[in-house]
Amino acid sequence: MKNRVKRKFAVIFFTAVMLVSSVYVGNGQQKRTVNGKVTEAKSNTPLSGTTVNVKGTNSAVMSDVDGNFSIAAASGDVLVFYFMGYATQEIVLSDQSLINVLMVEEISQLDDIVVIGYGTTTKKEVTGSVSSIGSDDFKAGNITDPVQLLQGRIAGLNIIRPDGGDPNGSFQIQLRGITTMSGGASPLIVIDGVVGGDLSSLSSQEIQTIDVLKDGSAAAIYGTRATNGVILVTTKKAVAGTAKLEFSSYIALQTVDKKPDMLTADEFRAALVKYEMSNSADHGASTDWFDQVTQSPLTQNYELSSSGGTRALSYRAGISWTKDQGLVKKSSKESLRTRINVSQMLLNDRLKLDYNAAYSTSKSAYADTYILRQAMFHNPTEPVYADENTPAQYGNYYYVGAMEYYNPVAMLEQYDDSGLRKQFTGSINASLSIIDGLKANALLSFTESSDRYGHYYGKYYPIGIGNNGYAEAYNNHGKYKSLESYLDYSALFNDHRIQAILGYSYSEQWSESYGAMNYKFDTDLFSFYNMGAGAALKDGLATISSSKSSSKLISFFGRVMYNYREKYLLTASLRQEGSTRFGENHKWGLFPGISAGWRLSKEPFMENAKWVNEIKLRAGFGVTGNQEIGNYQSLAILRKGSSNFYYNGTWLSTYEPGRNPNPDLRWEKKQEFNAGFDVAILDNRINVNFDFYNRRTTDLLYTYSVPVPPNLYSSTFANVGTIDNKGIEFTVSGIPVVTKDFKWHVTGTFSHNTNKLVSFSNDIYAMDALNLGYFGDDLKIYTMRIEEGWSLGNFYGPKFLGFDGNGGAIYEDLDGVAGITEADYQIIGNAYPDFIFSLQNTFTYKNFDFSFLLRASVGNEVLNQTGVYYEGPAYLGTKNILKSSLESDYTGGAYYSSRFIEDGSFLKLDNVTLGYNVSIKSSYISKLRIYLTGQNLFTVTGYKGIDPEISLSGLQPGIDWYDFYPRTKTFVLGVKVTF
Amino acid sequence: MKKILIIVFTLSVFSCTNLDETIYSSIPSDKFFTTEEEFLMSAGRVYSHLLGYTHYYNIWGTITVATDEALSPFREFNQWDDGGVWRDLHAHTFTPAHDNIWQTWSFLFTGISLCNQILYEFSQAALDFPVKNSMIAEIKVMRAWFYFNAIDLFGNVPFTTDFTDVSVPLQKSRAEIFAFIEEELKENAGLLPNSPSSSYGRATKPLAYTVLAKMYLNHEKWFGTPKWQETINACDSVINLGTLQIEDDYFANFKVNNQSSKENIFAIVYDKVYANGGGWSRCFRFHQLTLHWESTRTFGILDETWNGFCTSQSFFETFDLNSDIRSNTWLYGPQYESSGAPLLWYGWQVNFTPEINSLFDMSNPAGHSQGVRFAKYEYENGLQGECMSNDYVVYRYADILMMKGEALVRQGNAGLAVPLFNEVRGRTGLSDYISSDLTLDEIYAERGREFVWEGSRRQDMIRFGKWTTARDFKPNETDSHTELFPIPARAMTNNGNLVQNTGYTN
Repeated sequence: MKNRVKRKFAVIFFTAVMLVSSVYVGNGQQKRTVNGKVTEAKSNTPLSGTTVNVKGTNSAVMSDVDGNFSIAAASGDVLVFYFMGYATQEIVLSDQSLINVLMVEEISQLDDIVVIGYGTTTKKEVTGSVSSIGSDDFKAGNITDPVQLLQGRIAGLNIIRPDGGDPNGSFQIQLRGITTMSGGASPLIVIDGVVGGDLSSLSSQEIQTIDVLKDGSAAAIYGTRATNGVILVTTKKAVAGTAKLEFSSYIALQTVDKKPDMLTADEFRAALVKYEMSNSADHGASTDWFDQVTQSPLTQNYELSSSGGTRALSYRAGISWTKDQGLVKKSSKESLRTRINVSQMLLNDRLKLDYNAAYSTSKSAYADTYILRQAMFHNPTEPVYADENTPAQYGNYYYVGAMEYYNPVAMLEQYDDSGLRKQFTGSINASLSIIDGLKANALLSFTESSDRYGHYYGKYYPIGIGNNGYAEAYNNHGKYKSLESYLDYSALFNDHRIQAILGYSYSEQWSESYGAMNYKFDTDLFSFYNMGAGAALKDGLATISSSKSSSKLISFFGRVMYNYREKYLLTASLRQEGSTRFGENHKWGLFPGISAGWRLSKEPFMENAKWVNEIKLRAGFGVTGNQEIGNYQSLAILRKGSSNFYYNGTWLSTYEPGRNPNPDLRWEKKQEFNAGFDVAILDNRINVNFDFYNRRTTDLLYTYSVPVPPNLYSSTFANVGTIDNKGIEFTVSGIPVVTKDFKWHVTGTFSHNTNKLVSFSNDIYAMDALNLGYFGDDLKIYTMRIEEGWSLGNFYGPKFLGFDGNGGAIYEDLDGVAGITEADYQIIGNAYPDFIFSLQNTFTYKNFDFSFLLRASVGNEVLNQTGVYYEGPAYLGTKNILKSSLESDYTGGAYYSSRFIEDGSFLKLDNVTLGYNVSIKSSYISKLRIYLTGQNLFTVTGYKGIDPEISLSGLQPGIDWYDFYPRTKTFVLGVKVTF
Repeated sequence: MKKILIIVFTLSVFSCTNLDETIYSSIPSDKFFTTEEEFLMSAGRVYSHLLGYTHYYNIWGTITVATDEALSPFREFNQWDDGGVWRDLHAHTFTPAHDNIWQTWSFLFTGISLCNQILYEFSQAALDFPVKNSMIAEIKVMRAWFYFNAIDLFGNVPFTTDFTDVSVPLQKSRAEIFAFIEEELKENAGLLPNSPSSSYGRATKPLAYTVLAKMYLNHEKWFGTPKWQETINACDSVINLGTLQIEDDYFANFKVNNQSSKENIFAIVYDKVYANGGGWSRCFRFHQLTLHWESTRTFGILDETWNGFCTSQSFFETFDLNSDIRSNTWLYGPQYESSGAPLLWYGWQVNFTPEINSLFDMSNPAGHSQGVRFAKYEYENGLQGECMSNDYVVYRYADILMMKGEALVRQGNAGLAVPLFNEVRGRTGLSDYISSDLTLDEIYAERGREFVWEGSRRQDMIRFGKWTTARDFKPNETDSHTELFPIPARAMTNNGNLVQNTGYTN
């Protein structure tokens, strides 16, 4: 009830603001009528929508479709012409009654458009922490996912590709530290206003700009989905004018950057002697297992786009095709992405319709990283293929019995894992100009996706020998519908500029899945395309499954942006949002955001400081939520039990409660304070942005251990904990040298974040500590731990002091009791970096351009899991070990300690590009560009494992798991032609 | 103005604010419990829950590895370290943080909570059906069985029988709960069927009296006062039903199709098709625990085996390898493929030796083929997948006869006990007992051989005073505090009412 009142209040408040403001328009002083025409200087076309204002009065009009305007003014009045992105012009009226104005595009970045969600503003007017990057600044190279464009480019946004060079791998995006314990951790993606899009379905060439809402005040307009920040993507749109055709293509070659440093066959034989082991472990062959399962991958990409049309009806269409091979044999990804945009102006230009349709498909052959692990530790003296002693059931593959030890080539050759993904997104956006300054906007969108995953394990796949072929296939269908509608009012009253929105948003999502598994096939030839043929179905051992779920999100929102002479800036927003996912007692939440800015550079006392272009102080506060917890978590439901029970000679199903219900389940809530400044000096040649933030996430969701009885299950999903993140972000960009032919542009980013787990207990739910980073194989130990008051990401275990000279190791004994037990464990490292920075340099000389991007992380520690297990002779014999084992006289077993916590600081050359724009005097070709790019060319690090840049998301960051996918160096040759 | 109003109006029309969830693939709790079958399908969870019993991290692994009949030493090639859980159990160095002990606790108290919830559902039922009362009795007996295990392993434990009471339960003494179980078993036994075969895999009269007999048999150890006559009476209640008998073939009780055994009182019914759901935790996998990687070719098993669990040398040596048929429980000496060819690993014939280098010594670990392996349950030829279909036997009629025999001996009536022991021993190939043979030490050893890896050894060791003594890999005599396991640390955190058992620190 209370929520409903609040919601109504919000609606009334915003409506009132707009009504009052609109009534206020038109109170001018009657003089004579001045007519005129506004023209865009560069294209020499009429510029509609230019605000014309009599300075010092409330009188203002807008230019019409043909650029014409008419306004009442007297001689001596000053007319101000304002259009976003253009230099504001002031003209003093003499006695003329016809005025023609040329509007010139402003070069200063201060007028750059910044997308902020449900509208735009300019860089100078922004009061939150928002970063933008445009297509001119995008990296070249083999860009598999548009997220890659942001890597190393935006302070505070840490992007990692945990699967190295896997073409089917995804990126982890973390903004300003870790704010959740079990909810989703990725930023919200908004593509052309459609909330919750999928970036990988978009070709990077189709993107015009990417804007990132970093702080809570800016993100609050997106409510329960905004805690991890919001990434707003604007795609390239229809442009009226001469028809244009653009073609681009590249090929990329990859090589392994670093592979695991295991013993070669000869070294293995020598090691058997050194450790006095039976030579029965020598099988007589010499095999490089890593080479056996990897290849030198090739990537090809082709893209074509057209645009053109008239002002009334214009279009843009693009198509791209990429085939990306993976480092692991048989792995690849092939994508086809198409996109079309049609734009139409109606009703005397008062109504603008934008149709967007995008369809993408991809076909993936997945790599199994377990194969790489098996290849890593496989005995290099074993041959690949069977000899006369190999038992028949292992087929043509050499076999040695040992626990969880499988021939990697058999795994590779006997396994197919593929996926097909199709996605269609259609949207229509209608924008109606009701009266001057007031627009109604409605965006209807529809997304449908389908995924098919299929696996087939052949008869001789070494795990589950006897299955005689094992097939699995799943189909998932997803559907998403949304309406985003809002009123947008903007006006300028003398020195007061106001822009307000009021809206309603509705979205609903469904997903359905169907799956089946069967085995015991007569032949491998069917793969998973004739699943009924397996005998396991008749034996009652095959499985089928299907499920459906849906969720809804409904919200009301509003925002007011106000400024006085572009000097004092204020933004306030409010979103009231409800989600089906939450408990009965907490369906609705309120997410306010407020921020203010002060542009000192506009103050009179700064007038003489001509070298200063901009000084702006900003501060804001906002509340956001996280609803990524899955459906039905709060409800009391019954599900079918996994086992039946024997009842009087028959088997009866069982039905059990799905979980301990929690009607109090609600979103995780983040409150964030942000303060910063933006400075531009020396003709905008040096720009500095600084932000400080302090964010607290409360009501953290986690699965809590609860007493049984009274509960039925030993854990309940509940909102309990609190995490703090604090940090600074710093971006400096400059143009140190600019001459007629030469320009050097440099940008550096720096960020630092600290976090703390404030609490994870309350009156009902209690947790002493959380042990994480479980090493299941053989050791079964936890390597990380979180306690209240600690920072997250701590490694916890015995501290290694050195070797004892007798083949053993010495660890710090804290409790004085002989032997190393849990009482001797301590914090022995932390996974998070002290700071990360990047440096982007771009040089242009005549038609040449050269750029490189360095990324670095300092102070992050890495747990080298491969080292824990294989640095030492414990596994030698059945398995291979690391070469570094031979450097010490340690002969003990695999044992976790600070010995394997290494400094993971690194400096990487992320991207180097050399480009040349060919001067062509042709009536057909207007532009031709060729470029050469190297990606990930070198890494400077002291880390002994493969790559210190590893996953930092989730609660167990910084573990370099031995299921790795090595990163590659990539060399790209590309061309781009515009006709 | 008008237009603005129109737009605002349009927006509010669109403004759907209904946030109820639509459920498709599960059942809202209030739409169930309308038919007899739905009640049965809910009650059956007690039995599907039991499938977790034999897991090596659950109660079976915990109580078995803590005795001399099983161990899982740290082996060469860094196998079976597992964070020390197996050596801590075997050498009695476990603490409240021990994972298996927590899993065991969790298994028992989840069972209790399940029973409470099912009984609550039955109490709310408007529906009446013929088996309602006997089903309620069954669930009560099963709850008593969970509580019996709980007080056996942990002593004083939290106690509640009311599912609607959402407060954290209070701890009650072993004696109070003993009285509750005793009364519950006596009250409900009469409502249950006489024969285990008609209600196979479920609570029956013989089960209720077996539990009662075990309670009385251990009463002296637990509370200081003997209840030998009550033990005998409870055993007689089973014997007099006449529904059970000793199988001629000892191993018939452990075959793949052991549901036809006339001797088994209570079994957990495993089935490859119907009862292996939940894979990892609800699967009967003795073959994986104990067999060498290569032993699959001895038995025609088409799955991986883990080369872990074996028995201690001293325990193995209590078997008469020449005469006692039960020594076929063990796999020892050189191993062969099913074809008769030597079983080779890296060119060497696998040879299981009773000697084991160490329990845990990184510089001298147990060899991969050290330790004698377990083969009492038949390994199905062609077994594929990780779950066996044999039913795990919790209690057998042989135990009833030997418990009664032991009680008689302890009463000083060894003469009356002789035929009982010989009824069981007759099939082993060993010579019959005469009354002077029946010392407590002999009864202890005979129970060891008869019930190896059947979950009985821990109680036996404690009752016969052998639990705290030094043995193979437990170098010293220890005090008696380990006769109870510690209350797990997680249970202590969850329930502030609990007092830890003596001798353990949190």
